[in-house]
Amino acid sequence: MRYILFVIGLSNAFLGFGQDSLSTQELDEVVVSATRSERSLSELPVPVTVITEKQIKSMGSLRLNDVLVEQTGLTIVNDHGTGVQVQGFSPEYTLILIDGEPLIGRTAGTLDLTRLTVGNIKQVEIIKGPSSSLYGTEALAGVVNIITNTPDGVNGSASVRYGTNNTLDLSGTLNYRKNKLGLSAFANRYSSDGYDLDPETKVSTVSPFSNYTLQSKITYRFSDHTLFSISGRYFQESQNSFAEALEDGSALDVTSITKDWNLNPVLSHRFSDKFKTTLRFYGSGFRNTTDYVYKNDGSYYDSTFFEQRFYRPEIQLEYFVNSNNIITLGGGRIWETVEATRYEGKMQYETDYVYFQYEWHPIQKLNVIAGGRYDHNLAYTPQFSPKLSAQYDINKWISVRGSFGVGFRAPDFRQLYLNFTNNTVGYSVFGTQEVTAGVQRLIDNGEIVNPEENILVDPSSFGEINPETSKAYNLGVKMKPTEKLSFNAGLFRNDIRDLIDTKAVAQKTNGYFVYSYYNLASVFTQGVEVDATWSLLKDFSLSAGYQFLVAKDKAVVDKLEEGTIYKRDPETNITTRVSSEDYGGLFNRSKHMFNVKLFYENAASGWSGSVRAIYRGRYGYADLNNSTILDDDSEYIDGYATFNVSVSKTFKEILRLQVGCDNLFDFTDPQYIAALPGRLLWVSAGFSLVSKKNINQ
Amino acid sequence: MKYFFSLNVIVLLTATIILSSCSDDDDNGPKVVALKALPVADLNSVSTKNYTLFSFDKNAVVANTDSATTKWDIGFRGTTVILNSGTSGPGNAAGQIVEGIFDELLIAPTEGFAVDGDTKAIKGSGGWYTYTGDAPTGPKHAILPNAGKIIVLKTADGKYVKVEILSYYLGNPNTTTTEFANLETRPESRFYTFRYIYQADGTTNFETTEK
Repeated sequence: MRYILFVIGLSNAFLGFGQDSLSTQELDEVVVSATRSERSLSELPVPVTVITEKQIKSMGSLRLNDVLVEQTGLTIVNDHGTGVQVQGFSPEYTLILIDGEPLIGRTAGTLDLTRLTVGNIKQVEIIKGPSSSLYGTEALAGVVNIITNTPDGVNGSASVRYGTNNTLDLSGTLNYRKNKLGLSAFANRYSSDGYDLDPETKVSTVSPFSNYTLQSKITYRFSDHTLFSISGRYFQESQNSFAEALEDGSALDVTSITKDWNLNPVLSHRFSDKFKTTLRFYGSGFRNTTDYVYKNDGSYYDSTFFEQRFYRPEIQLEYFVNSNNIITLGGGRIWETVEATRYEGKMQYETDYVYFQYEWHPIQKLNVIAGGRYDHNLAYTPQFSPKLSAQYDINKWISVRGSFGVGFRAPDFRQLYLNFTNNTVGYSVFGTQEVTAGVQRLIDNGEIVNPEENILVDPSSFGEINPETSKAYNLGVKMKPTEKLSFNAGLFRNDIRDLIDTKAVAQKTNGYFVYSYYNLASVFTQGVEVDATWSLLKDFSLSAGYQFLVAKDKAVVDKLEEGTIYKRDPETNITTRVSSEDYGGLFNRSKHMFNVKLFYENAASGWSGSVRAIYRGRYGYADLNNSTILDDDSEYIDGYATFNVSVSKTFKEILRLQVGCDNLFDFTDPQYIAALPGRLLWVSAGFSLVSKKNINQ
Repeated sequence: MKYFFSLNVIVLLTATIILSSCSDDDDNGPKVVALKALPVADLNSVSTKNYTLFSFDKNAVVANTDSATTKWDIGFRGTTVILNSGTSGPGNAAGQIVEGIFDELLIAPTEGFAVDGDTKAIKGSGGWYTYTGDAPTGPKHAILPNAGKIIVLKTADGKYVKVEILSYYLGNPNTTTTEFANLETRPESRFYTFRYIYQADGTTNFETTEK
C-alpha cells in the first residue's frame, strides 16, 4: 500500500490533482444521465461527474455557471451568453438538460447558463464525450443534466444572499409528501446592478438585470406499479442597457426580456418485474424581445424578437431479462419551430427517432453498455449514433474503462433558414435552405450585378448540409487504494468532421458579401484528465483536477506541413512562413487547466468551509499577425487563477449562516476577460423547516 | 569537351556567387548582377478622384496627365489597384496574385495573368487585403494586406515585376498595437508601402540580371 501511495503522489506532482471531492466518496450514488434510468454510479462503465447539493451549498453557488466553472475539464466561455466548453468543444456541442429534458433558446449556439438557478437541485450530472446514442443532436461533446429535488416529507426552506454589486438572491421551497401525493414548489428571484470594468465607456460591462424562476413538481403514486409526475418551470429576466444609434450616435435605451418555460408530465408503469414502460411528454418555449428606444423622447428606434418552441412525446420500454441483462427501447417525435425578426415566417422542423440500449453484466467484473439512436429529419441526412462502453474491475480498487461513441449536432435553424441583411453594414447571411432564393432576389433587385463574375459559388450547391459529427474514444482508469483516497484518469480523443462554417457566396454591388453555411473543417481535440480526492484529516478533504488539451484544425495542420500558411512580421510587415511548432490550435482553448479545492466540514459543531483555486492556462484570443491562425505569443491571453473561499455555520440544523468571497485577489482583465467580475463578497442566511413526523417516512 | 563544359559552368557559378555577394567588378565577361528589392514608402493614394500612377522602370510616380500613355504600370486610389491595360489604360500590363513568400519567388509565372476589366486584375478585398470590419477581435475597420500574397505583374511594356504590399497606413506601422487598434491614434490610411523587384531584361528571372 505504501508503494501505491507513492505512485499516486508522484503522478500528482506531475499532473496536478483531480476533482470532485465529496461526490466520489459516496459510492452508491444514483445517476440517470448515462442510461436514462436510475443506475448506481459505481456500476456504470461511463464516467459521470456528480456534483451534489451539499457541495453546491458549500461553494455558495447561485447559477449553473458558478458550479461548472470549478469542475475539472470544463471551461466557462462567453459568446452571446455564458456557456460551457467541454473537451475543447464550444458550448453549442453540449446538451443542457433539466431532469433529462433539453433546454432550448440558444443564441449563436450558446445556451446562457446564468438562466439556471441551482437553488433547488439535488445534483448536477456531467457526462463528457458524446451521448447522442441516447439524446440525439447537440450531445456531441457532452451532457450536463440538472436533477431537481423530488418532493419528500414535509419541509420548507428559505434563503437570502446579498453581496457586491447589490446582488440579491432570494429563494424559497416547499415540499409536501403524504401517502400517494407529493408536491413541491420553488421560487427564486435574482437581481444585480451588474458591473463596469471600464468606466470610460458608456456601456456597462454587465448591465443591471433581475430574473425570476418558478418551479414546481407534483407526483402521484397510483399504485406500487404506476407513478405519475408533472414538473414545470418558468423563467423571466429583464435587463436594461444602453446603446448608440448607428446613424448618428444618439443614446438609446435597450430593454431585453427573456422568458422560457417547460412542462414535463411523465407516466411510468411497471407491468411486471421484467417489464417497465415510461411515457414522457415535454414541451418548452423560449422568447426574447429586445426593444430600442431613443433616450431623449422615448420614441421607437428598433426591436427584434426570437421565439422557439419544442414539443416532444416519447415512449421508453425497459425489459429486465434478468439482473445481468437489461434492454431499453425508446422512440419519439420532436416538433420544433422558430419565429424571429431574421427569419421569413415561421420555420418548422420535425425529427423522428428511435433508440436502444443493452446493459450487459456477463461476469461480476465486467459491465458493458451498447446502444444507438437513429434520428430522421427531412432537413439533413439521417443520423445513426452508436455508443459502446465497458468497464472491467481488475481488482477491488482498480477498474479500467473505455468507450467509443459517435455524436452529432444537426444544423440549427440559423444555419438552415436565416435570412438576414445587415442594413447598417451591408452584408447578407442566408441559411442553406434560403440561399438560392435569397441570391436570386438580390440579383432581381440589382444588388448583385454581373452574376457570372460576382457569384462566387453556385448557391444551389449549398442545399445539402450535413450534421457535424464526431467520433470519440475514451479510455480511463479509476483507483481507490484506500477509503481515503480516490483517483481517476482518462484519455480522450474526438475526431470531428463536417464542422459548419460560413462562406462567401456572392459579392454585392456595395462591395460586401453574401454568406451562407457549409460543411468545412475537420478538427480534433484530445487530452488527458486527472482527478484525485484525498480525505487527508478528519473533516478535511482535498481534491484536485487537471486537464491537458490539444484542439487543432486538421486542414491547418496539413497546410503547415506544406508550408503554405503565412504571417506578417509585426515590425516590418514582411511576409514569413508559419512553422508547425508555432501552431497553438483553436482559439479560446487552454492547454492546461487545474483546480485545487479544500473542503472542511464538522457536523458536530456545525462549521464548514472551503478554499478553492481554479487556474485557466493561457489561451488564444485573436489572430494579430495576419496568419488567420493562432501562432504568436502576442495572440494569447495569459493564464490566470481565481480563488474562492466560503465559511458557514449551521445552528441546530435550522439556521445556516454563510459568508464568502469569490475572486479573493480581485483579478480582472477589462479588455479581454470582461465576463470576470472583480472580488465579490457575500453573506447568506438559510432557514430549514422540517416537520418532525415526516422525518422517518 | 565534356570536362571543359563543366568547368565553364563551375566558373560561371563561382562568378555569380562572387558577383552577387561582393559585386566584384574586375571581370571581363557579361556581368551577372543580383536583383535587389526596391522599397517604396508611403505612396500617397489619398485622392478620391485620380489614381496615383507609378512606373517600376523609373521607380517614380508618373504625373496623372500621362494617364493615357504607357509611361505608368500601376495605379492606386484608396484600396483599388489598377494596371495599365484593358479598361484602365492603353498599355499591355497584366497581373495576378501568387501565393508564397516574396524572396522565394525566383521565377515569374508565364501564365495566369489577367488585365483590368469589369473587375480589376488585382482583386482588392479578399485579394491583396482583408477589411477587418466590425471584427470582435483585433483592430476594427482596418485594411490589412494579406500575408503570403505576392503581386506579379507584366508592366506596360511587358517586363516582369513582383510586388509585396506591406502597409496601407502612413509610416508602415505595426498593426498589432493598441495605438493602431484605436481609431483616433491610428496613422492615416491610403499610404502604400511596398517593395518590388523589376526585371528590366524581359526574362522571368527575379534573382539576377546580366549587365
